[in-house]
Amino acid sequence: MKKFLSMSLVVVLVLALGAVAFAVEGTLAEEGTLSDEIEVHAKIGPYAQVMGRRAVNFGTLLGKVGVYTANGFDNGDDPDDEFYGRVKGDFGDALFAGNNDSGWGSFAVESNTDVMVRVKFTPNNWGTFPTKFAVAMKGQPTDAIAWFDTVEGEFEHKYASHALTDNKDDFVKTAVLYGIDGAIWLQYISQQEAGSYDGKITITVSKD
Amino acid sequence: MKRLTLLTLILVLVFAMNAFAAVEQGNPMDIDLTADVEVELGIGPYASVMAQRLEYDHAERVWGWINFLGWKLPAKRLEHYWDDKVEPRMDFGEFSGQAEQSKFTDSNGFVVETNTALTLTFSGVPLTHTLHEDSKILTTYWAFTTAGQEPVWPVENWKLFPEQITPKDKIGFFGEGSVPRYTDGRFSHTGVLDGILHVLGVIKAKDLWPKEGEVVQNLPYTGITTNGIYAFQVFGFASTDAISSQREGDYVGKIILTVSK
Repeated sequence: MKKFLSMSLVVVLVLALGAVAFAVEGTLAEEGTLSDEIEVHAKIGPYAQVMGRRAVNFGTLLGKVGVYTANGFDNGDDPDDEFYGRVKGDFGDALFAGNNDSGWGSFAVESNTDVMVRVKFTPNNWGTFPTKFAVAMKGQPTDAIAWFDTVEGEFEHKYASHALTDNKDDFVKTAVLYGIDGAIWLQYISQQEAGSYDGKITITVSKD
Repeated sequence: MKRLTLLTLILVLVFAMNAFAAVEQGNPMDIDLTADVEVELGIGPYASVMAQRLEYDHAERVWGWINFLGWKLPAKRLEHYWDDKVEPRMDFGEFSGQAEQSKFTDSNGFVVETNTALTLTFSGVPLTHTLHEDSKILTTYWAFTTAGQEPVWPVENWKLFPEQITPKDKIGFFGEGSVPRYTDGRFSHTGVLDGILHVLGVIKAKDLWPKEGEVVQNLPYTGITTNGIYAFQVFGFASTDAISSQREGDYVGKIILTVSK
């Protein structure tokens, strides 16, 4: 028992000494050097921001039956080559009615880690016409990464490293830009009274 | 045979007399004899360097004796206790990840014991992500001489700060990379008692902040000119840049003190 206690005390003493700083010492003859170090620590938590928001604008619709789109990231020669061609299947292949070439919306995400981005449309003062949106990364307009309407869509925003920047307000340099294309389907002329309508797209960013 | 013996005795006498000639001659019973034997010794340049951290433990009022108009009276006095069994470390704590969030802290520092004049060189490695070396937090360090080193431990009750963490003279800023950003409203200090800020003679943190051009990679100090024990304190500045300039995660850096003859 005594031997065990002695051994325990020795072990405790060794561990305690291990936590105490010891000096580094030695000769400096013949251009010798000595050095010691202090470790420096920090931690960064997950952080993100959404900026550079631009509204989706369908413009003023003619009112005739068909699918109207608001896009601009992709400018093809034929409506089928543009957003209409990718969304018409959701609208029973209804005919193309019109497009606002500069009607695309956008938002930018900057983060220091991979995050999930969720998008959802809320029809505040909207019509009864079917509506659909798609998100695509800048430079890849035909590759939709999320589809949504009143049912939420989501995609993963991967951390994109940006070098130290002198212009912290230039989000183009520090964030990733995502475009939003939109489409609505006027199914019959009297479906919606002439006038102005608006809705809201909510963007939610989370760690998972 | 007799001649041989006599010759041998004469030879022995001659040799003996020659041996005595090597010392001061004279009758040691009548005069003082002194002789010098040289003794030679050299001590090579030698030093020790120790990283040290002191953390404030607590203060309490204890009974003791005070002098009052020549009378010794019992009274309670305040005693401060510092813990010197702490692992040397500079810890900035946690950043939220917000752009241009800045922090200022201290490490306490180094104690150098030497038997000769020394040249010291301070250098530092910026906070670097433990998994992604391209992700760094802007970091700059600031070296000071201190008031000295406490000869008595624990610190005597009338001293609020041990000498080795009382900054005295600025040595300079050192580090690698860009200088940390400072933005009003996004600054905090950790691990540094407010009293030290007053000792440094500043009111606002921005007065402390290093500027581009003031920071060197290797900071020399040649103020040690003789043997003794010297203490140095190192403070640290760190900030994020843009949100995506540095990843979420753990970061480690280093402060290095090198001594040479």
